[in-house]
Parts: sequence; C-alpha cells; structure tokens
Amino acid sequence: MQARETANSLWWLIHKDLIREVRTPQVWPGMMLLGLVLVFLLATQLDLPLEQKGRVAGGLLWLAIFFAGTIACDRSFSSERDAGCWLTLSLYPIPPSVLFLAKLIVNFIALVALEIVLIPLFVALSDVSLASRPGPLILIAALGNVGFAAVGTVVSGLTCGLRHRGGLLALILLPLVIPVIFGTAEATRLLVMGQTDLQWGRWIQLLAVFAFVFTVIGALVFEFVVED
Amino acid sequence: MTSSQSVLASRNLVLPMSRDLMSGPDLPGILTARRGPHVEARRAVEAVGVTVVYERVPVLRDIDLAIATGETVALMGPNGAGKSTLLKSLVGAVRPTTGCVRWFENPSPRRIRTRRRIGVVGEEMGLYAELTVTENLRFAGRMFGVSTVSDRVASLLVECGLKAQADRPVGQLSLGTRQRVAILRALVHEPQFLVLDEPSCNLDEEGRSWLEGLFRRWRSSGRTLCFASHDATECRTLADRIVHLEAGRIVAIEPCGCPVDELRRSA
Repeated sequence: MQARETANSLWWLIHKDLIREVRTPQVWPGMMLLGLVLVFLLATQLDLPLEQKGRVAGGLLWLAIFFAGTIACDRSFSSERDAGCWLTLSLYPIPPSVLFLAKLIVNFIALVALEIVLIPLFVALSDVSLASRPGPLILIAALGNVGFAAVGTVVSGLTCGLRHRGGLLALILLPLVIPVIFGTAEATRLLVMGQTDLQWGRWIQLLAVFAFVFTVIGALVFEFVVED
Repeated sequence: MTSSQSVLASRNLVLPMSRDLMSGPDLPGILTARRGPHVEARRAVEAVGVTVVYERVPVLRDIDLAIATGETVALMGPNGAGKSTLLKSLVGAVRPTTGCVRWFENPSPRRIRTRRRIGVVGEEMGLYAELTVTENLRFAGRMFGVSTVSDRVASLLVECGLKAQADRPVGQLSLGTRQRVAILRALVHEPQFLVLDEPSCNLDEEGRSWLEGLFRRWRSSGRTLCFASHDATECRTLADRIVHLEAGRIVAIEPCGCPVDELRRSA
C-alpha cells in the first residue's frame, strides 16, 4: 500500500513538472537553443579527416549535451522557489527521496529530449557514423543521463536556496560530472571505431557505477540538501 | 519594557513570562479550566526553547509555546518580529538552531504521519500559476494520499463558491481568489491542525467573512488553529489566545475569544 502511494506521488510530481513545462515553456527552449548552437559550431568547425573526426566527435557531442543540460538541472528547484511553492512542496508527506527521484526523472527526460534533437543534427552536420549502432549508443546515453541528472539534481537542491547563485550550479556541477563526460566520450569513441569489446564494457561499467552510486547517495542525503 | 509591552500593560494584558505558564505541565489544566471540559487538553504542538538564527542574526529567541488540541492561537507583532519563522518552525519547515518542536507528542514534526495531520498556508501561496484551480487542489490531495480526491476537491470548490473558477489557471486569478485557493489547498486532506500566515491579506470583505466562517467552523469542530495576523480585531474575535512577538521574543500572551459553546451555536 505504501509502495503504491509512493509510486503515485512520484508519478504526480513528474506529471506536474512536465505539464508546467508544456504549458509555459521556461527551461526547454533555452536548453535546446544552447545545445543547437554548440552542436552547430562544433560539428561545422570540425575540419578533420573522417577517421580523426570520429575519435573526437563523441567528446564534443556529450560536452554540448551536458553543458546545455545544466540549464534543466539549474531550474529543477529554483522554479519551485520562484513560484513560491517550495515551502508547500517540502511539507507534503512524501519522503525527500521521492522528491529527489521525481526531479531526477524530469531532468533525465529533458536530457533525452535534448539528445533526440542534437544527436541526429550532429550526425548530419559532421558525417560521423554515430547512429549505425543505435543500441549501444542508447545505453551510453541512458547511463550518462542518469549519472548527470543525479549529480545535477543534488547540486540544484544545494544551490537553489542561495541568493546569489547565478552560474554557481555549472561551476560546481561540471567538475563533478567529469567522469560521466569522460566515460560517455570514450565509450562513444570506441563505438564509432567499432571496438565494443572489453574496454568498451569497462567504460559502460564506470558509467553504470557512477549513475547508481550518485542516485543512491542523492536519495539518502536529499533531506539535508534541501533544508533551509 | 518594550513598546508592545507598554501598550499591553496599559490594558493589563502583559502576562508573566514563565516557561511553566506556556509549556509546562500546567497548560492543559489552564485550558481545561478556561474552556470547559469538552476541550481535549492534549498538546497539539509544543515549542521548547526554540531559537532560530539566520546568517548569524537571531530571528527567534528562546521561544516556549504550547498549543493545546482544539485551541486557536493568533500570532501578532510588527514586521520582522518572527511570526512567519515561528510558524515555519512549528510546522517543521525550519529546523531550530537550538530547542525543539514536538507535534502531537511526537518528537519530530518531519515525520510523514505527522505531516498528514497539518495544513499550511505560508507567506507565499504555494500555487502553480500554470495549473488550473482544480489541478492545484488535486495535486495537493494526491500528495496527501486523499483517496477520493476529485469528490473532495469538487465539494471544497462548491463550499467556497469557486466552482466557476475551477478550470481557470491560477495565474489568471485575482490575488484574493488565489488566497482562497491556497486556503482550500491546506484543507484538502482534512488536517487536524491548520497553520496560516496572514490568511486574510488580499481578501476582500466577502473573502474575510468566508474566512471568519471557516475559522468558526474549524474551532467548533474541536480542531486546532494557529495563524499570524496584523488585524487585532480579527485576532481578538477568532482566537483563544494572542501571542505577541517582538524582535523574535514572546513579549505577552493575551487571553481572548469567545467560548467554544458560543461558537458552536453561531456555527
């Protein structure tokens, strides 16, 4: 019964955030625009032979995606505070971990939406054959997204109560997610080179462990993170 | 003696500030004697030695306050006196720097079971401007695990006279209507304790009269209420006690209000 109530709360929290974004887009347009500009510049300025391009393409693509994704993470909690809803939200009888998971999932969905737009554009502009093996690419994206969203949600909770927090989230978040950026870039490079072997598997393991550890830590410490 | 104390002293309202009076074992007896045996004298909430410090500035200083089940308490004081912070401390939204708050004789107001029994309207209304009135209320009901949330929301809207606004986004409503929706949101799960921060601000004459009726029904049903207000008449009409705050301290406690039996008759 309690698990069902928790699942219901989780669903309605996600539903509420998505409905708000659909009715009054505040986060996704800015995030998409930044992503598009970065991908356009990086893909068109990459004047290298195709083989060398394939080696660096993954890193540039994920850097663009995660850089634009900081906008989604930044608004996770500040949108609640700006709407004057934080006190009410924090007093609902739901475990803080459920609130954390709901925000993490909304950030994950934002990153997926970003990737659906940016990856095909990057492939079209750079001619790098990223989409030839979609299964492994989706796995890299999914694990990278969870890791990034988990850290981003925790950092967003930490910084949203600060008065002068402009740019602070990116300053804290980007160094923390270096393992995610590095892991997704290396796994994508090996994928483009057709080397989905043991070494590729190790990068996938690193991404999976990072995503798992930060999701669990985030859920456990979130009560203290969002305290006034 | 502070300015508030001087004013109150002239009206013989300054009470001795002893911890025994406010939170000690005598409190249930005092309330029972004053309000009659029908009032359950268990403590609903109790703040013991609560001090809250924000960025090295003390906002609340050594607050001792106990509110009995069924009691209505009003907080009054000038801006910056600490009314909102005290309300936030009482509902567990602010952790005291020192001291503690107990709800329904539980050690922590942060427990999920305790939160289900509390309804809160804060300084900010806590409504999502993009969602309609019904969606806001249903969302709150779902967070509180209300099983028949659609029926509950529909009956609240009818009761409050907001049925015509039910499908309008909250962002398009007047401040007074939003305030009413915020109060309904706090009632959606039928809490036992209602905490409101300046609930009558933004309300017009009709809204104030609706709120007064709500408070009277609330009191006559034996549930507990704590609100902050600048309106002395409202406080004296509706509350059992007025707690006067100044610079983060309780400077006086003023007993007032009409007996519960009278309220039951008028409700």
